[in-house]
Amino acid sequence: MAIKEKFSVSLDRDVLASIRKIAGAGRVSEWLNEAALLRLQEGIVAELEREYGPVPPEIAAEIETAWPA
Amino acid sequence: MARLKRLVLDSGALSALAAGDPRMRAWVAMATKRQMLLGIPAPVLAETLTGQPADAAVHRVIPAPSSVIDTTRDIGREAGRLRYRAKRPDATIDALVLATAATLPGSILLTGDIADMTALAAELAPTTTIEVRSIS
Repeated sequence: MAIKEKFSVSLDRDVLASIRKIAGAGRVSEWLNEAALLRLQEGIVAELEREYGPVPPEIAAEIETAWPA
Repeated sequence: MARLKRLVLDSGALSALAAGDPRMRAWVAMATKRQMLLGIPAPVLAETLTGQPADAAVHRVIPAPSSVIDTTRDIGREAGRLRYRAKRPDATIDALVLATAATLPGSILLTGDIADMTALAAELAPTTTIEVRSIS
């Protein structure tokens, strides 16, 4: 179980309102945590692409086909 | 909002990603595009890491420590049941990986050992909603 830490951030009011609407009552922290993990994951994908080059399109197409419906 | 689904990696998948394998990179890129988070069952670390400097390549593809999913008592018990029912006495780690993925509804488990994992997955409860895919 990950250890949680409280800290204060400032968000645009309209952005926060949209997050509250999407995330649901009492789940803003979880939503933001997952959004942050996704950004970190995007960074890994980008870093690997910088190092190894882009994924060949035929492989990307193959994985898209193999993706569960 | 439901929690995001997971792309769960076994040790073959994690090692391949760390080595820059294009198929694994495609899986992770696709998962990210579809808003799925990486999930690494804790026993995968035991099979993948060595405590040597080369581990850095593995650590850098794990987004955060919380991407590693702890093994609970229930997961351990389910893994034992799967291993026994599938007659795969040596597949302890695979069983732990599968039992972990099974706690994450809608997840996709990527494996480098599709034969063992498929045999174990056949023993999952019919209500389990995970998919098992080979990395090759």
